[in-house]
Amino acid sequence: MYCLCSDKSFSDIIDYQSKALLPFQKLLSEYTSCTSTGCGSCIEPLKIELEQHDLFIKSNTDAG
Amino acid sequence: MLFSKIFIELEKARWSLDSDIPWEKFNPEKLSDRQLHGIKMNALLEWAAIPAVEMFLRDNIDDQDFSAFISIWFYEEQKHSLVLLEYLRRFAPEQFPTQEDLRALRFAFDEAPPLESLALHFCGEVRLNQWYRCASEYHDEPVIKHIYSILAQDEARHSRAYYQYMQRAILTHGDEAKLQFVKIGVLMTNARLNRALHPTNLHVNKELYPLDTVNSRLPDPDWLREWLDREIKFDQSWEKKVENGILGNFSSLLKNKFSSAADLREYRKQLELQVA
Repeated sequence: MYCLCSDKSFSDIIDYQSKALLPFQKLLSEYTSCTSTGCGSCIEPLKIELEQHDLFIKSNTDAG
Repeated sequence: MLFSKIFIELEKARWSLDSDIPWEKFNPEKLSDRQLHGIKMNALLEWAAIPAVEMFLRDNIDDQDFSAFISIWFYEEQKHSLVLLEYLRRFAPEQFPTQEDLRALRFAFDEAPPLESLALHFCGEVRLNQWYRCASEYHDEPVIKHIYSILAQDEARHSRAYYQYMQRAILTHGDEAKLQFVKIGVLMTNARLNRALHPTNLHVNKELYPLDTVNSRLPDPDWLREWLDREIKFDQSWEKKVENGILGNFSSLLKNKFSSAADLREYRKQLELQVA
């Protein structure tokens, strides 16, 4: 998928995460606009894709 | 059913007209008459969700899931018009549209292939997201700047919702859906076909031609082009973001890498040959 608010594809975001593993919230704040000026609708599908690539790292602030 | 999932997601993101707009920060010194005119035209443009909803409900009579989703889209688009109207009511009542202005936008759209309309509105939301981001950067008056930023976020969420219905359509209709989507994708990424590539610029009623685009029925039909070119300055760098959004999501949807509009045109040719 492609995140309009970040102007980045999920592939780009996953690639970034594969090179410098970050907790999920930190990844969102450093490499996307999802939690700042963005709409937030990519957060859940991005989490699922990261999990599928074994690249999801839970943040201390993440629920569940 | 996608409707229930999307309903919950959009409800979580919903903003309040009363408490989430910083009305008290209004600064009249940072606003021109021309900008107020633009806000009026934009409020009218959003009001034109009404005939689009009538079209969607009529053309998707067998699709209860999508028809239910349209209730949310309708609510949120009317809210966009309302927040802009409320801005005018509070700060520039002389610019408030007349009943005739609003009535002119209530006209029937001809019947259209539902999957083409779906893709058209996906692309339209991608474009609106960037128009409103650009408008938010352009304005200096704090309240309208904030309003445009939240409208941009809503439009991005709408594009994600339409995208999910496009995914579902491919599962159900396969190549037939892909062909219709890619036809619209080619149209909406070809700047030579239409300079303001948005559903509001498309002719939608043969009997009313040429007054059958939403823009042609605004009190100032030339406003949109002027607003984009001379006011908010929606230039090539912004156009590129729109193209990226459409091609990036079409790449994911159709499981094919589209780096340019030409790639999408080529894919369409190949798909047509394959299906023939």
